[in-house]
Amino acid sequence: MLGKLIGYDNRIQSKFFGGVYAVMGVLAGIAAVLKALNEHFNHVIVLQYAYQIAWVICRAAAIAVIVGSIIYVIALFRNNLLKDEGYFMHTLPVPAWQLYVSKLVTGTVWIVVSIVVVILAYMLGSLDFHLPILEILRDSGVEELKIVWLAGIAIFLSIPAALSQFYASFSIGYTWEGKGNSRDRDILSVVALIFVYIAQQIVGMITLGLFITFQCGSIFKPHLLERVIAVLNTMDHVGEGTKFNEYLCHLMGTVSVETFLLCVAFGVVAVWRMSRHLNME
Amino acid sequence: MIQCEHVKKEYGRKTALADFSAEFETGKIIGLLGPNGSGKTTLIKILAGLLTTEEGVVRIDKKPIGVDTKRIVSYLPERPYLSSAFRVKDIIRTFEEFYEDFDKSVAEQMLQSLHIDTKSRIASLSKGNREKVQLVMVMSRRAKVYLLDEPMGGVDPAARDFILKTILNNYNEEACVLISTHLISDVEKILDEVIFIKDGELVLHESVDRIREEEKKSVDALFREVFAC
Repeated sequence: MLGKLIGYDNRIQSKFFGGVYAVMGVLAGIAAVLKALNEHFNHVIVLQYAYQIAWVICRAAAIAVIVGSIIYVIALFRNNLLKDEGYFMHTLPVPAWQLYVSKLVTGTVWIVVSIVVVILAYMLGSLDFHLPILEILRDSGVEELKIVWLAGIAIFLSIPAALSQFYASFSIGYTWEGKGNSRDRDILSVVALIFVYIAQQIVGMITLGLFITFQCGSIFKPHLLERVIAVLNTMDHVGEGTKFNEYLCHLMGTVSVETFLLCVAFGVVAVWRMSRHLNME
Repeated sequence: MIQCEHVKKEYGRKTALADFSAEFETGKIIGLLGPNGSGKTTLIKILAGLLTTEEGVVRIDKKPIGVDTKRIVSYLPERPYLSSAFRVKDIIRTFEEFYEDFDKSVAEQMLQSLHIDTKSRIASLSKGNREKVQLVMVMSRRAKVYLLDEPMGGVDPAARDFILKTILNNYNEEACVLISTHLISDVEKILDEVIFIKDGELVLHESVDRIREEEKKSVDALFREVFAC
């Protein structure tokens, strides 16, 4: 059933994103044509202005695509699971956790696809198909590659983690006791988001504290700052590059694990609220 | 088929259902009747799995409300609930994917008789046609329980007749059908039993024939008497 739900959610979202990507493609295409014309007829002032305007519109559209994608995916969770369409979704013979996972997986995928589309649109609009990240990867050694991969994983995991914060907040706000209307539930969701964010920051600080403790000794013992500086100084020396890379690997790994665990924790909260405290308006 | 034992549901300080107990058998069309705010929709939502209860036990086919009961329950809410991003044929596909008891050919036949093109977008349909599409989808299932919440609310008399005809012609005769409505005189002719509910409590649970024989009045007349303001 999870596969069918993912197919269903993809069908809904593809109708929105298909249109958005088509518009982005057209704007990037127009910018590309104007750029090419500008390069051949660089004495024509009108073409220069036209290209600049098209490029500004293209960049604004790129930002709108990214921001719009995130807003759409979050709003879809609320509209499809907690408002009128929830009457259909929650009466399907599927457990609440599958409804949640389907939204999280498809939402993450479409946001990543949006980022890729924006990068491609940028490349097309500027007629520059050179990607600096590929050069970094090509020139990196094994240790640096490991750091780049771990950083990439941490960045990737931040997407579902961020989504899961919003999903948990909406799940709490919309399943709160009482027969509040939609506006009340949205307000409760915003309040829940504040608490969820605070919880995430507290977990982040605890994780950082544990990381520093592991690297430099207990944070409750005296002279913490001196110990941190001492550790950093040992990595500053020539030949200590490996130690610094190791440090970065541990840091990226810790961030990734923390982000993943937060994502799971918020997911558990959202699923628990939807399965035990569902309160459709 | 459906068992409710001492069910209680509160919204904050307001009690929607108070110690509600009833049993509904298979092969019956049961009218759930009561004034506004009496708890009819609350009860139906609990049976559909859209609300959780504070107290009490609710079972359908001897199972607690959950994935297994949703498999055999066909629910029609009183509001539009299908995604407006889809076309009618997408909705048919979705019902076919998720419900093993969904009969695609029955759905397509009913839509054809209503002159609703399956390529139409849900968003482009009128309110009445959207409600008809929802009803067609729900009644095209060979479910064991049908929960219909105000199926005739806000539609014209001709459409009400169509809805009643659709329910009668397409429901699984071994199923239990629970209809919540205000339009008692319209629906009375198809009901086997009625439940009167007031302030979240069961006031009456009786067969329609007994009401007519013993009370010598229609269900509509009895309702007006019981719930007189």
